[in-house]
Amino acid sequence: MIISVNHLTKYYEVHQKEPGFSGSLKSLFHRKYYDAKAVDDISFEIEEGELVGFIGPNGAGKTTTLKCLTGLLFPTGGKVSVLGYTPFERKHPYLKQISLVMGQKNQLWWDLPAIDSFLLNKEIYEIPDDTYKKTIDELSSLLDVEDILQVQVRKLSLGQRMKCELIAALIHNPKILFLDEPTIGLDVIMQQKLREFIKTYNEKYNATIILTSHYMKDVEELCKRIIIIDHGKILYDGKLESIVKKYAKSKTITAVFEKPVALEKVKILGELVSFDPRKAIFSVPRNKSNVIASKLLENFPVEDINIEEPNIEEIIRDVFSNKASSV
Amino acid sequence: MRYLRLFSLYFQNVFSHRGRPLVYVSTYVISALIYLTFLQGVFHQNANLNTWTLSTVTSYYFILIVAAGTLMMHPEVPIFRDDIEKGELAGRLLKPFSYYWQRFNIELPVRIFQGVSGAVIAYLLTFIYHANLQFHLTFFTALLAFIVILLAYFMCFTFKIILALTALWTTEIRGAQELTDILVTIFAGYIVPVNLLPGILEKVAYILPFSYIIYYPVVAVQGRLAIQTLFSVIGIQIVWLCILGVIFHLMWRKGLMQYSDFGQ
Repeated sequence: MIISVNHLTKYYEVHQKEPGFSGSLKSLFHRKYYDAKAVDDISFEIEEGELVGFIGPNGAGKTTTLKCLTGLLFPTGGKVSVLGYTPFERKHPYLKQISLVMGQKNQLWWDLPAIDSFLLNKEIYEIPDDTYKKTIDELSSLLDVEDILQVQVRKLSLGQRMKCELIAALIHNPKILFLDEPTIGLDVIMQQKLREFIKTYNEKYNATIILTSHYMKDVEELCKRIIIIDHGKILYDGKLESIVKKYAKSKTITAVFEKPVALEKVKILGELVSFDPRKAIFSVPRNKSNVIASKLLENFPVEDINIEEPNIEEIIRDVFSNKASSV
Repeated sequence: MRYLRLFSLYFQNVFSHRGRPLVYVSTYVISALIYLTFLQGVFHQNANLNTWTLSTVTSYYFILIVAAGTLMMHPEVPIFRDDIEKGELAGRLLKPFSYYWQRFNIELPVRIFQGVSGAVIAYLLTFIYHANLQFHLTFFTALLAFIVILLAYFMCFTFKIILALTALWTTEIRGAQELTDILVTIFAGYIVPVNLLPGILEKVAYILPFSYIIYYPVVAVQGRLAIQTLFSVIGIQIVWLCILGVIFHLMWRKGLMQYSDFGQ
């Protein structure tokens, strides 16, 4: 196992202030603190080369977990091992094998071209000249940023800057890449390009990638395995397709008819979500979707039929709201 | 070679802000000239004050311009504002390069740039003031003066980084920073050379580290210190450096254990 997390816990001491002027005055002399449980006794393991999605609502503990894995935060309790190292010790051989990209923070020199920041990282990570050149050529070509490497970072668009951030993070060919909401704030085209790049990078270099995102598209397209976290606890850890099978109670059948059909004949087949004489949409139990589809084809002039899984977002939302104890 | 290349890269960053170092140097120039103007009035009344003459005190303030630009740094400002407040510390912590040396390499080119600028301005001022800068140095005292300057640099940097690290607990250092600036102004020899301070203030100045950062390097370069005194100053600087080093190490360890990197 390349990453091993055992009963990881992280509490933050948070000052609780009463509202208003009197509350402010009181806090001058006496402050109340409470422990905010950001991560509460979580355990999981990740193998080399996996691309794992970490999803959860705001404040769930995703970023805190990532920061504990990279060594930025000192865990309150539990044990974390990444590549055989204790992350918080931040030993240099460990740091040379990992990288963290945060969607809302940047590490590039603001007033200099991105290429200068790459050169700085080259020296810091002690990358040989020929390896550096090869990596830069490859990554800048993959991300299509060859033309902007000499432009001051502050003059780049958000999408361009994000691409350069990724290159800076990958110059030293890390074995593990932690991506914290990398597509946040990007337009749909840029998001798609970034997803393609991450997938290619994972396949080509067998890099282990842990990704947090609020965009289900990121998770659906990239991650075979997801870990759902909420209020610091893991609600689900497993394959993405399994969560659909486990938690999606129904499927959606959309039937388009060659000729108009009568509502009375159609509604007996299942729960109608919407109907017009040429089109009907049903919500049917998962285990009966094939049977109902067959009946539709047998008894009605069907031009087109489509069976769909429910939207992954809806499933995840249900998991959050039910806080599935069955995980 | 690696460290030389790194230093060269950090130096390039300084040139992206041509105006800023010059603006800071001008603040040292203006304050030095104000204090000098005040003391010129004093020396017109009294030609010799505790081994100082108008000529040597003028020379002191001109060298002070260079010393202030080179030695009195403010890494606490970007550390507090960018690293701790904005959260850029996260990126620096994950580099396989000590944070202390990262910040050191960022600061050093700025100091060199400001020091050279200050030296040029001070040299031009000697013509305006008809001043005769004299350095009463031998090769050996010059070498010892260089060591005093080097140790002063490290003392100031370590002290300021400790000041910045208090933000890991307090989240705000501006009050402490302004208090430090006041103490430095009085006890580092900005207003008057330290041995011209009134009795109790002079004693306090010798106890605090600030005179070993500015005053002693300046008088060492002037050649006003005997070899024995130079060795004493170096010894005290080393002691201070050890104390500051231990404080930095402890604060760094403890501070990071409760660092929360909020904001993302």
